[in-house]
Amino acid sequence: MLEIEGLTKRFGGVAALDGVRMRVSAGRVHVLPEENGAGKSTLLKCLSGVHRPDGGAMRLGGERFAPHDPREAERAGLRFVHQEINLVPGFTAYENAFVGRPYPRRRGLIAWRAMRARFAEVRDRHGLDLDLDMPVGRLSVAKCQIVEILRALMDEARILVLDEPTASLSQSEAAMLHRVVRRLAGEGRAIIYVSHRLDEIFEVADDYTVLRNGRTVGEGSLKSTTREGIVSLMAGEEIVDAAPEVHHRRGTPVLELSGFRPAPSRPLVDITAYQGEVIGLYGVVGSGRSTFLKAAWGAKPNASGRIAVNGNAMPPAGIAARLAAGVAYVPEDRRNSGLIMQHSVLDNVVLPRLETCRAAKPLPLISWRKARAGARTVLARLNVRYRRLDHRVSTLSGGNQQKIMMGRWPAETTRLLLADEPTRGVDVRSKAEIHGMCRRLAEGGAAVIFVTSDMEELLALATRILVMAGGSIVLDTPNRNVTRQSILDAVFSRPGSTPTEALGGAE
Amino acid sequence: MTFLSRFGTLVGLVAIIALFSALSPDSFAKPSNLVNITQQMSLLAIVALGATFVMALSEFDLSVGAVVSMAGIVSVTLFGLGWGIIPAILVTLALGFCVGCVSGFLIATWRMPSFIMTLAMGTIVGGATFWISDGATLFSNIPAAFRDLGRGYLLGIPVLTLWAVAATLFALLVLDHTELGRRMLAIGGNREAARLTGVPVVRSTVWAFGLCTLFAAAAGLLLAARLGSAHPTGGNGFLLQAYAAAFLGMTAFRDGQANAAGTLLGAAIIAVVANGLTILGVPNYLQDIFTGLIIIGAVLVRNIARTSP
Repeated sequence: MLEIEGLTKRFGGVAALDGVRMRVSAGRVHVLPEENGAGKSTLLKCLSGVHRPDGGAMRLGGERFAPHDPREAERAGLRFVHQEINLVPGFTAYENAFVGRPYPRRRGLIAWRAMRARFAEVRDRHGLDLDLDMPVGRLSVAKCQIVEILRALMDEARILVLDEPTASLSQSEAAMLHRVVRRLAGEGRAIIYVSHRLDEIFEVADDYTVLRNGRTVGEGSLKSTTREGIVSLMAGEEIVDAAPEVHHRRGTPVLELSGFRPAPSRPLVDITAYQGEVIGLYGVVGSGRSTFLKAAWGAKPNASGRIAVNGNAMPPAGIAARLAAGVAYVPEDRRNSGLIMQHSVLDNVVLPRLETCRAAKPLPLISWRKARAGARTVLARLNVRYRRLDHRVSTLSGGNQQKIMMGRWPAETTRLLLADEPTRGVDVRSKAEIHGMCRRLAEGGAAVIFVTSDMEELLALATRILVMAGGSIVLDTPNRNVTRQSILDAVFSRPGSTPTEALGGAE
Repeated sequence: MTFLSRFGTLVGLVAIIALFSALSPDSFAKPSNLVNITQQMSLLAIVALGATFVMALSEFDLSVGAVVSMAGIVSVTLFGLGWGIIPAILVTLALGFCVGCVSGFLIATWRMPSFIMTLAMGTIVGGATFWISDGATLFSNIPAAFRDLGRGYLLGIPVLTLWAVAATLFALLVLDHTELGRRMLAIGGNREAARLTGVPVVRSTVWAFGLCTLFAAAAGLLLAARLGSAHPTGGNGFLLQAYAAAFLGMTAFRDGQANAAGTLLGAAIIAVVANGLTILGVPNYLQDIFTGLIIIGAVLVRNIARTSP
């Protein structure tokens, strides 16, 4: 039904898609086993008309398919159910189903009964169980997924794309969803199913396409492959060269966590980070990495357990104590929680180091002369390209913004750097510079913990590798003789395990 | 930032002054009238400068009008109880400061919407003010020395103008030259980013709301001193005008940020329009219409200046 051939898409100099091939047939469930950054989200955005591909062709039912915008994709019969739930909590299921669609009218007013009846008919046609009159805010996550799916099915859908639909479902809820998906395929639709849970892939899907670095590296029927086959396709065969030199001699502990719970109903985490270590924290999206890092920074009010920095106990929540102890934090989402985009470069650089810009030590008065001079020094050291200090920080490139987020913390006093995806969406040169910053900090006796979804980066930068799945550390190893394969094995090693409920936070 | 987006509002004020000067050269453009305008705008400027602190946080404090009224009633009541001038002033200012601190604390810790929280706080303060005063205008027992704070001249300049200058300098100092001020603006720019960068959000928010109502209480004291009386709703009219001035101020000098100099400029525009139209014999309600149109115009010009490169 859907044929994709040689699809490419570049962002700047980076090829997000570089020759994707995919064949999706009617009546079958087609799975895209997902590894972070393989190109899946770009592919879905090309399908939904958000991005325009740079090359290659898509054909739908034999006809050329090149949607300019999401409406056109919708008219062609594609429906998307995104990972995040996008419902109005105070509306009932049927009211939600009509958001963005013309409401049925009766004498100019909304025909509530007709609306409800239409939705009930769709629900019954697909044999689903759902309370129509409950506001969706009071439904379980699984039921909300069902509402999302029914919304997508309100008018005839030829292809239904489900993006990680089970990411936050329990085992039994996931099983129910699988039955729904099988039935929808049985009615002749094509289903594209994105999942990072290898255990469910074999349960629900017929065919697969594996992407790696934006390229199709394997496709076919799941009947003729195995779990190990898929994992090795995702991992690729490659020799990791130039793994960083591992410090055999461990320094004193910088960060000690014991019985630390980043958020209620998350598993306990015990980690000790030593001086000179660059710890890479890997895991799929939703594994709890960001929540963990944020909690270590003291920004999760419900964290509990024991945490000490340089031997001094800290409250489980509270940023001020971390700051005083020389901890620094770089959040994942630089646009919404990192920098203040509409403020100047100067304001953003100076914010965490206001104390260093005082006109006279005892008074909290700022000397702007000192602040400007200090900011210029920082920016020069970081090799940030900017035109004027009072230009908005949003006018800088992503790489320069990221370097500012890392480098504005006073390096002399930083004992521990917590960086969440420090190089996402950053050009190669800035990436190398950011890696350099991490290494220099570690050489200076600090510890660095960074979260990454980029396997290459993990293997190239980390001296020690931690893998997180479902909120627990499932692998803790020095970066020696580690391969992509062994890391992915750890990520997917727990069949039947489900990521605990998606808790607030970036992931 | 282009010249227009930075100084457009200032150019607007100059144009308005030029227009009124041309229309009534004998009365508007007289130096004594211009000095008079600085006095007329002074209390509005002080309330608006206070509001600038919470606008820096991208929040609102709707209790400022009620706090202005309260300050007058409380101080005059204390005089009636035989209190001295300085203790009465200090207690009134402290009370004003506390009103904002309570609002700010609840807003910061419980994430109450500031609009609702301060609307409720303003209602409470207004009710308490009525209670204290029995709804009556108070004008007895006001010491002459207190009245001098709001009338009279120093070196030929009205004292009220001097108070407004002092308030402007203080607000400028706090917002642009203290860590507290920069933190307030950071919170206003992006609360979550500021929090994750280690900005003490609760403390900064409490300070901003406290300073806001402190300024309102100061304006209330000066109002009572100037009038020689206190009315339980005498300050309520300042609320909307103060935010009008602060919004006008956000269109000037800084890229859409609350700033003290801009707020002063906004207050000046409102005062000049009121004064000029009164001299021309235009009725009050038309003045309000003009003020509203000027605010819309200023924001439009700023947005156009910003979008065109």
